[in-house]
Amino acid sequence: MSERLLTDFELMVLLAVLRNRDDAYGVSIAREIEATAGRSVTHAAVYLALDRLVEQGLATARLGDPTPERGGRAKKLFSVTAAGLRAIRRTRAAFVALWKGLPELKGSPS
Amino acid sequence: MRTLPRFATALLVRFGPQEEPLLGDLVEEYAAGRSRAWYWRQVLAAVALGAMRNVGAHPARTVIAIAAGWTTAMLVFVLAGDRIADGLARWLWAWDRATAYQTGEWWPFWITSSALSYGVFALSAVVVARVARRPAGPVLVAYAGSMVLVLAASAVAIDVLTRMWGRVPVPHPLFYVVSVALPFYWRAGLVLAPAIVLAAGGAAMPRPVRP
Repeated sequence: MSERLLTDFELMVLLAVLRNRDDAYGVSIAREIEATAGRSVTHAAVYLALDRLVEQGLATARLGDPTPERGGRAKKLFSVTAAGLRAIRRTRAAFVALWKGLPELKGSPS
Repeated sequence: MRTLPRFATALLVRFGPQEEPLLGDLVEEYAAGRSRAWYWRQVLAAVALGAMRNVGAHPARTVIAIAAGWTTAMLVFVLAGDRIADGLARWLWAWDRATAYQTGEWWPFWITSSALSYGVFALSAVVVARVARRPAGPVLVAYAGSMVLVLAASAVAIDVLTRMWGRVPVPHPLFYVVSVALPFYWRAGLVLAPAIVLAAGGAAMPRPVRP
């Protein structure tokens, strides 16, 4: 089981998966990251990160049903495992610990 | 439904990661109004990331396939390069090397040598496609990348050495590799060589499951 901290992109992807719950697939995850983080992402990068997270047991993947608007191709639906949730909390704790006591970082981002 | 950019889709299907849901995502996004430029960017990223991922997942297989390609190319250039390039120029334009040294008339050799270079690059790509197990597409992309790297590095090295010492003698087998990236060929090899590798290797690959 992986005990490492997540990279910023992996953290964003896993949080986007959580926010989309039962409909977390390439399009919804990429749109979530673009909307909330204001960051343009490629779908291939999202899949690359998610495949790595699946290999490490931090996420799971299953195929949905093919749909006409996707040219008859199935969605690959992702969900976060218990180990994934632990990794998110661990990463957050590490960031928060680094954050504390830094006067430069007080106030809202702008 | 909007028609997908055909060439970009063919590139993704042949050389990208074998990931049906990824193509489904791009189809869905493009149908929802994303631009052609967005689609192309997604395809190029998928092809590049797919190749990098494949190299990481199967390093030995990738290295063996790429080495087989370069070995094929170098063997042909070493064993038969001059014979083929000179022979073709003689057959087409009654050209010969001894006279060219006196008259300075090298254009027939430049034409046949660059044709030989590209022909052998294509042959080596077929070898790479055959040696690489499925999926061969990402391995071919890595081979094309290695070609751009070698051509660019040798072009820079020759430029620097020429500035330092004037004319730089290049051994003939190497000449067939690097010449297409030199100024007198407009450095066209930096684009044409990888394009030919992908086209020839792609044609030698088994057909993809679904376009």
